[in-house]
Amino acid sequence: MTDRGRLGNQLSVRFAPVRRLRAKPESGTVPSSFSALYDEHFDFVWRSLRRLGVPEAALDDAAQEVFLVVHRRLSEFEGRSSLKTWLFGIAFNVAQHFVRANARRGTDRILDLPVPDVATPQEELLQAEAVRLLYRVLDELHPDKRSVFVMAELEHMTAPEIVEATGLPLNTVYSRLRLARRDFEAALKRHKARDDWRSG
Amino acid sequence: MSELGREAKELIDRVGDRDGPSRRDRERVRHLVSASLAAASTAATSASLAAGAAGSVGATLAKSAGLSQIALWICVGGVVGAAVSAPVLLSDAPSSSIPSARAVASPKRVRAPSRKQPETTLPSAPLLEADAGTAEAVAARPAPAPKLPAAAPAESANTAAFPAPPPAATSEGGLRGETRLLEQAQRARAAGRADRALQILTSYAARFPGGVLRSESLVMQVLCLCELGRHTEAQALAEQLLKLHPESPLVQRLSRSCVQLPSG
Repeated sequence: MTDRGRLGNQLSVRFAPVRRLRAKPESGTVPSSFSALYDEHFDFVWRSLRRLGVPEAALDDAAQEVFLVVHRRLSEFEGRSSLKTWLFGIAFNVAQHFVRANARRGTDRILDLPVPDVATPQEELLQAEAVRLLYRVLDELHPDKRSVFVMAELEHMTAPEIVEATGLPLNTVYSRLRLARRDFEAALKRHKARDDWRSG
Repeated sequence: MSELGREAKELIDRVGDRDGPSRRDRERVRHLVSASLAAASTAATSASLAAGAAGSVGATLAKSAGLSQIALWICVGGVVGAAVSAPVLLSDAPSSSIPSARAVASPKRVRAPSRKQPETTLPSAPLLEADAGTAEAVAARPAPAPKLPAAAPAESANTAAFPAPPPAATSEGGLRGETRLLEQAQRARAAGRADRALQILTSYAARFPGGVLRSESLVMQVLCLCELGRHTEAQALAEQLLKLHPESPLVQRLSRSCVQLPSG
């Protein structure tokens, strides 16, 4: 059996149950069908997995796993929380498995970005470079800090929402976010200095 | 808790949500999810049929042997199995029809083909059309032979038909691969081998049809055609480039070539 196959089995057997969420009732709206849910939230799930450090080669598998879990557990979603937070919680759990597997294998990240919708090739290049820089910096964060950083700074989730999605204690969320911001700033400075030195 | 610095915020703002998936990614994964759910549905139906058969045999055995407890036990198996026939999924059925975790066999992931390889059509794709019917119908359909997909599917939000995903065109090396090819072409051109450069650029266009550096590639193609004396082709290509990227500053580069640009 391949590593992916083994991982798939582990995920099926060991996947932690999605916790019942306790947010405001009006914030949880479920699309009318699974297909509609997929259309509405695929981009968010894919982007979240990528931001959480799932390697490009495993994104298809990870996204597929998220939607299979969603399909299996949608009936458990009681609409007491934001659907987005619930989905992120699932993506977070799936991503953890793929990130750990990737850390063991040590594969490289090569970003395969969609062609952006901008006017000129120069703008395209600048945006592509910005995305690459962001991921280079994110890749330097410890996975635990990275997750919290992504949720807070890129997905603009509140600390209680991060608690909902991850099950971490609130104090841990705050302390990881503080450390993640510090590490992110330091890594960004390093990369910028390196880029400036190379181009100058 | 300290806030992020200006540079970090600017970077995050600049990226926004531009690191999202392409339409191709969306369709490819939709196909994989559909295939997994259809496979689970088929497996559940088989289990149902097997359990039903076991129930009949069990009842006969129980009658002859007078073992009512055995009959009850086996028939319960049959009833539970019969409840496991999953509907076809990822169609536009209302969410209330989505089976609970207990009512459907857990779908296993269909292994995603490497995005570095040309993709083949997964056999279960046509199973997920809106009129796909029951899981029995799904199981009865023959699986088509793998084939290469023809063209990129049209964007269709919330559609129930799931076309075969197109081949991943820009995955091998991404921007790195594009840059490498253009550098090779540039070196060939600088060495006076415009014909060779043109070959490389043609290969670039085939390999990266939606490439980030496609404008640069087209400009270089025009210049190569000029150098080879193929002025008519150069002119046609330049006009095509102008239509695609009228505002591109790269077009100015062509004003010093053999082609005539419209004034103003």
